[in-house]
Amino acid sequence: MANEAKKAGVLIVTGDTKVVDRGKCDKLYINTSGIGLLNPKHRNISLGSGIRPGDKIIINGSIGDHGMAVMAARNELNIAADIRSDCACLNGLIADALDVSGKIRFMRDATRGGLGTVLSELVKGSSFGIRIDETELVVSESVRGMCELLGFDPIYVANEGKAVMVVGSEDAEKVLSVMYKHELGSQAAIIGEVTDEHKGKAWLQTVVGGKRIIEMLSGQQLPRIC
Amino acid sequence: MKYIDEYRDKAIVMALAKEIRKHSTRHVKLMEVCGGHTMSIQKFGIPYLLPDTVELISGPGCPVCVTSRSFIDKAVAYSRLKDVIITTYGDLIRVPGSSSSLDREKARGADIRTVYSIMDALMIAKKNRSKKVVFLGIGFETTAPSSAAGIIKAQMAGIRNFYLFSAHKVMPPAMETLIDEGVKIDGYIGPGHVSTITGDGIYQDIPKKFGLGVVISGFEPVDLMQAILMLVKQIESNTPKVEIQYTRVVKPEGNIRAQQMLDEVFEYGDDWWRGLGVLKNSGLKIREKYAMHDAEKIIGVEVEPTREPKGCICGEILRGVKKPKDCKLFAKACTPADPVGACMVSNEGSCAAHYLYNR
Repeated sequence: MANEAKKAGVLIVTGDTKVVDRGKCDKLYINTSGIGLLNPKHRNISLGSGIRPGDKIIINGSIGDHGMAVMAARNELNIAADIRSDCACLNGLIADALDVSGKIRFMRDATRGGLGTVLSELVKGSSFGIRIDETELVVSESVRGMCELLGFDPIYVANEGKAVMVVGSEDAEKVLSVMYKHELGSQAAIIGEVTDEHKGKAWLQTVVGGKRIIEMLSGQQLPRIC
Repeated sequence: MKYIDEYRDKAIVMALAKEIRKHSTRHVKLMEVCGGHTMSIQKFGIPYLLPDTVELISGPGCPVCVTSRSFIDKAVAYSRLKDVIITTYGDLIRVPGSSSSLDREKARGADIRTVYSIMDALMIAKKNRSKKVVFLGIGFETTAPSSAAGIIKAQMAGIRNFYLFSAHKVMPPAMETLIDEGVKIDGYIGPGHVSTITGDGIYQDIPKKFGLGVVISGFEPVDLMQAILMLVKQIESNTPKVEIQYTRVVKPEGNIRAQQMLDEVFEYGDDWWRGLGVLKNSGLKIREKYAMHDAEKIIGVEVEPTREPKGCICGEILRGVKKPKDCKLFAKACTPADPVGACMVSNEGSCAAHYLYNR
């Protein structure tokens, strides 16, 4: 805990312990709450209210690692996969990005439901569309292999160390290059852009040049039968 | 990734799209009868690459979708027995029955376990000798051989508490019935993995009796585009036949060993398909020789009367006469999180694929 706190640059200021009867828990669980301050000039970032066509979509690296690491670790599948969760504290990376650009218009962690869910939530009911280029998405070979095997779509697999950002196009390269310098952003990429066509929809240009809609994940992905 | 990236090569896909455009003059409807194809077509955005003259429609190729509600009801009834453990592929867990689902029964305390292979179910039976372990066998010629292998292994290893509840089906009767019933199609994209087992012989009647072509296709974009091109060429030159596009996996004779296992354990019987009704000799029933592992023969249960959901048009969607968007319930009362019909549950289901990729 001390190590992670040091890395994240946060102080652990208080704590409490509970002991329960033998047999009721018999393990150690650690639960944390964080408190921070929101700079008023960044208030719109959680809403995405400043987003406009032409803005770029940036993510700080590969997708699907956390969800597939959990699946592999459950060991029901007997898959010996070398997949590590991407679980990480992103505050340093985010602070670096905010330092170089005043045009970060939206930011969200792509956890449960993955990148696809973040994008379709963002675009729903809005006056713009989002186009994602599948060839720009970074998916590690082992995550891809496991997704292929099970019939999963990596854009709906959970991440625990990924931030999706919408950045004004003139600042996109600047944000990208500051991310590259950070260890959690070495595989960062511009994966798409905000468009004024297909309003209210996020859509994907597939690797083979086809098109499809990115919808919110409803329920959970299930392994295929055959 | 080897053997995948080669078949997702944009330049090749584009070249095939151009060829299809060049050859296609007549408006054609091509039907895929494999849930894996349905998913791939939507996932890669294939319809977007085709000319207006080529329309793709989904047929009864999703195992979960064609399975009857009464099968789910009976599985639910088994799961309520104290000494039974249900083992199943994940897809089936959330399929609604008449008044419950396996998911709900599990929440109420039934012992229901998701497995990825029938061999895992056998292991569970071996470790729980005092329980009856029932495996829910669904799927076509693709999954049926592994069920056959499971039964043979249970017999050989003396795992007497292992039972198969079979809803296994075979594909050709459904393909012929669709044409017989007048569903307007001009050719079949033949199922890749069913054909890996069966070979191409099972489709020979389709060009002969009905004058329709069948091209057995793989699952990657290049495969599908090439299969579509082959079908378009057949139709344009009026030379319907059975062809294999998926030659790297499908042999004309199929997998003889798997066929032998199927024949050893199963015999044909009439079976009920959602959307098609009872089809003669379309189901795989466990032979008398293996009756001791047949859940239906050994474990008696009382099953509630089956009730079909109101407004659900799964049946017509499976016949290819309607599309998911034609359904009043689609994406409103019926979503993957709260499905009304089976087509919305399985990730190979037409409604689920349209919900996710093409809404």
